[in-house]
Amino acid sequence: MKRNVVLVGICLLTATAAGLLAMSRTDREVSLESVVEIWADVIRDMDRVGLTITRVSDEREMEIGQEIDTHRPWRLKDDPVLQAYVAAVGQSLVPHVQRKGISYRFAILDSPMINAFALPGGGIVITTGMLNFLESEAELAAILGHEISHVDLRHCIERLQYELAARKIVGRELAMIVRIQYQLVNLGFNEQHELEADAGGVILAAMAGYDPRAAITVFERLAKVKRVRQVKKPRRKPTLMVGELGIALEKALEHYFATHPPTDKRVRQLESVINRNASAWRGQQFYVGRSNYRDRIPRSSEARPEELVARS
Amino acid sequence: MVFLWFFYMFAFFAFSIAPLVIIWLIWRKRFKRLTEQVTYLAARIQDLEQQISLSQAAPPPPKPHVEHAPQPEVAPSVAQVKGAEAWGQLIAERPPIPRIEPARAVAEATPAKAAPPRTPPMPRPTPPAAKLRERISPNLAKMGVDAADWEAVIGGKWLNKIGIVVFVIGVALFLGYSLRYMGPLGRVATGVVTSLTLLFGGVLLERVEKYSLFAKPLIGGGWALLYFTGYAAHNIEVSKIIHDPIRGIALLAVIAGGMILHSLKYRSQVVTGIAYFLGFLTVAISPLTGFALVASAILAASLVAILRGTGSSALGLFGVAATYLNHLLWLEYRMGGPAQLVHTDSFWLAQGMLVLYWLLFSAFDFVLEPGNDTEEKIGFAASLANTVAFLGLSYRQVGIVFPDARYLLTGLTALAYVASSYLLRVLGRHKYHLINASVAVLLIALTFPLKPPSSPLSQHWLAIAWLLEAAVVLALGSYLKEMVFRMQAYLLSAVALGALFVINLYGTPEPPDVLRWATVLPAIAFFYLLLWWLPKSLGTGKVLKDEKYVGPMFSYSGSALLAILLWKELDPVAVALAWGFMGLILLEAGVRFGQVPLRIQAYLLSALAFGRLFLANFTAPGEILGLSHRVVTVVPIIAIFYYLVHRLKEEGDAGRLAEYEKHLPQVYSYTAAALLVILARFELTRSLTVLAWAALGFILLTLGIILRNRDLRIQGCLIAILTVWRSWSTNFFLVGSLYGIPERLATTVPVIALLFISQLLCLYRRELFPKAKEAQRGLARLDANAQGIFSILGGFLLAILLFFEVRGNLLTVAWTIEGLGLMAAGFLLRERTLRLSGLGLFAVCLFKVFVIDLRGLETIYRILSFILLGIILLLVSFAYTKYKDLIKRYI
Repeated sequence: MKRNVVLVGICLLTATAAGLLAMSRTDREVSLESVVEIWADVIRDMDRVGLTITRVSDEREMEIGQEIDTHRPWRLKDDPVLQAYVAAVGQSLVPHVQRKGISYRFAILDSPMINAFALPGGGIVITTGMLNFLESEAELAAILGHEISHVDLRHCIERLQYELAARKIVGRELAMIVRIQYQLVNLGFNEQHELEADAGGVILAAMAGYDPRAAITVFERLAKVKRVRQVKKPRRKPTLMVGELGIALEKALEHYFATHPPTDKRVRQLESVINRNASAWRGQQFYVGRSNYRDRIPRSSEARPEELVARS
Repeated sequence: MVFLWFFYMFAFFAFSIAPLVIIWLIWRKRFKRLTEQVTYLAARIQDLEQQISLSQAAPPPPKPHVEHAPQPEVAPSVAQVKGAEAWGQLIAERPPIPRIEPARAVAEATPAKAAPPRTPPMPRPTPPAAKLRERISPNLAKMGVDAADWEAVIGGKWLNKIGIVVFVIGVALFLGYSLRYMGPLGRVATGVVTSLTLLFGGVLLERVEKYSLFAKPLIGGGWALLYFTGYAAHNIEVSKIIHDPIRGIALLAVIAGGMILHSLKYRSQVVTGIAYFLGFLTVAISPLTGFALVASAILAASLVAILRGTGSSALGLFGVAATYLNHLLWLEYRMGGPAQLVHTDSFWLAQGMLVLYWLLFSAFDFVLEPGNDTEEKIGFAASLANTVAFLGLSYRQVGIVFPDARYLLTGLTALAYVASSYLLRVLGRHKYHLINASVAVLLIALTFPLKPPSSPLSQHWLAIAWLLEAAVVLALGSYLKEMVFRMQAYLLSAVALGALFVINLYGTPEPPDVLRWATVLPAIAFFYLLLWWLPKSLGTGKVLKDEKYVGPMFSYSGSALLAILLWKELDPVAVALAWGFMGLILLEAGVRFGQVPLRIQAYLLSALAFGRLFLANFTAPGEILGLSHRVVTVVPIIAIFYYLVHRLKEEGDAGRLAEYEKHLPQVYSYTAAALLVILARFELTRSLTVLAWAALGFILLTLGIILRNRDLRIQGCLIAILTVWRSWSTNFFLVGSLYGIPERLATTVPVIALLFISQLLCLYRRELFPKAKEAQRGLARLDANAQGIFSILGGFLLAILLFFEVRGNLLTVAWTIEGLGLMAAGFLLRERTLRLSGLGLFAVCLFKVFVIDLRGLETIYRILSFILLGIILLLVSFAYTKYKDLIKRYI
């Protein structure tokens, strides 16, 4: 009797679930992304032991950063005003980082690509393409915050830690192999790094008084640009189950080798971060700084009251 | 011209070579028998020659005691054999060749004389004939045929037959040839005179034993020529003397009647074979008209009458081939193809003739009484040939004239076979009944795909129609206890299964969803039904060894169909749910009805559902009523898995599970827990997962304690370890806030609290846990040490939290206080692991103050650290000293 009641209960639960699904068809292509993500989780968790053992001090990390900066293959933009502006915004975020021993440096790369990146030891580089794409100081703070978070969360130096440790044992050349292998194994974790840096960047920007929603605005605009550039593939409907498995595998590989997560996922994650932190930011006003950005005058030099917004 | 060339080529083949081939095929056994006969006779003659030569050379033997000597068995002479057919029987019944001792033979041959002294027997010389045979023709020697005998066989037996065929064809051609100086009457008269001459000549010669073999082909040829002359008298323009078709037919019928009676008198295959062969052949080489078909039909009818008397299936098969071949020739060459039937309004005549042929030859099944197995097999072949030829030619005609009516033709033929099958069963002709019934089943099955395009039922209903037929055939097989019907039902079901895959599931264009469901679901129900039905139908009658596997195989097919149907029709995110539910129902049915195959299918489907979740559900982005599609789909599957745990455990306890099924409750239990862990990971993102995991671990541990379920407790332990690991690798690096609380604290403090509560729970119900020494290897040891594990995990995580939160000057102080707390709790709870954890932490603090703090800390904090640590260590030492005896007891 009791068993039958449970059985009926499960049937009802399944029926309810089926009804709910019928109300909102997704028709989404299948993917083995979940397996890639689980794999990345496992690797990340296991990796923590090795990363703790081979941890590099802040001083050493900055030395490495300097070394990379010395051999940089790119050309920096020679615009003192813009350089000063970016540095001022960046430095306003630095007091809120966890790793106080790192001194951050900001540079502008003369490239039309919409991009920014971080180097171990606190080197943050933003392209002129990105600067042209941004529309407010809060957006710039979100981007710089994202890159600072990569350094603050040790994402940059962790990629080199095993190589540095291996250098001491097997020499520079063989250590390169260790780095390549490590990067291949950890490819699946790139996305997680990016999401962590997104969250960290928003929080850094908000702590510095910048509008946290600016990050979402930037990603939404980026998504539009991408949509214009990319032709959306129609959903493939395989005839055989094996074909579906092939598609899932293909998508999983795409996911594994992707350097950044899909924009919609990033936006969802940022929304979630902002919601989780909303109570901490209640009653606080945030700075947007559209005019500051236009005029290249940082908020630290001239705060304009009309640029403040309240986020509930 | 091309047509004429082809016609002549065909005629050359048909009339020159093909008859020889057919004759050889039919009579090759007879030829073999005859050669054996000749060999036997040759040996016999040699023996006799040898005896004579020996009797002439040797001195006269002593007088034998004739009255006591057994009479030698003497082989029958050629003269004693009546007809060639008798030879086969003679050889079969032939006694061993008698070895007549020369002395005795001579004694029998000559009256008694004075007995000479007995001399040893002379060695037998090699017969000169055998030497010759070996020298001239090794092959013939091998066959045991004397070259001279072989020549005699060809010359005496075959040349006359070939000769009569050639002669009759010549006369037939002559009757159709236009000559100025001879009118129709003259031609017919010539034909009649020639045929009667042959006939009477044959009859007269047949009476003389010596010419008996030579005469029979003459009789056959005479009848054939007479029949053709009758045919020509009405049908061939240059020989036409009878203008009324009824008279023409009546004449043919009379001649055919004569042939029948005469053939029956002789019971000779030579006479009948030649007569009919030439009868058909002459009709075929004449200008083919509709009347030619009638003539063929009359020949066929008369053949049936003869076969009833003689039982020769080979002649029947020949008749079928010849009649339908005549029809084909008429259709393709005379009419110029079936399309011409429309223009000449001859369709119904042509089709009517085919029906008539079919009816006539179907009579074989009712009248043939084959003498042996070979004859019976040839009879079956004739029956099948009749079906194939009738349907082949009918399709050719109907397919062109009424292309949409092919299904009607097949269906009506099938009905006719059903009727004849029934009649044959009533008449007790069991084998023919089965053949007719099988043909009927096949034709009914063929009727469905031949339906016209205008039919409202699409091809997607084909499988259903076949399955309905299979059900009827199976029911019939069960009722009549006939294995053949069951086999046909299996075959039909298998074909229907193939059609379901090829047309309904994977066919292009894809059918509408409703149609697919409407056609595939009943089929699935049928396949499941077979699982119950077949064992009942196998209860009586003949059963094949592997037939018991048929039902399970079809149930697997049904499950596969349903799984694929669900996969094709449902939203990708709903497929796993559907498969999981299907697994549940199958398991329940398998358990309730004791059907092991259903249970195995349930296991397979649940495994598929589990795998599918990774493919389409865990990363599904959809949401409905605030619930993600992930939760909506994964939670019911987890519930199903837990139900399976419970259900299988019940069955296992009742001893109703196979050995390999006994571990499945455990497998499902761990799988469900794994699904919960993974669901939490994807639902809550990486950083918040630990909260859910900690709660899950705690709940499982609690349930494990309440339900006294070791597996749940172990799962709780494992999840706790996973939680701590993830907290350490991820959550201590968080910088944001969670609803106003710093995220690091918000996500790790509850975890630490739950770990310590879990430890308390383990302590509270410690009697449930096995002793560490008693625990087996592996996961059981985890259960035995659960309390210690929770204690260490909680202490470790708290220490790490303090490291991140109290980083810097006061860390040593914080760790010292934690160590003190652990020690205190260890004493209060009489728990050794807590105390040891506290001691371990003190050791870390000692190391830290001497190695790190001494040189790195500001003076005041350094002092504070040293003082506090020192005091606490003293207090602990005091406690150990004071409660030494008590601690020993606890330990």
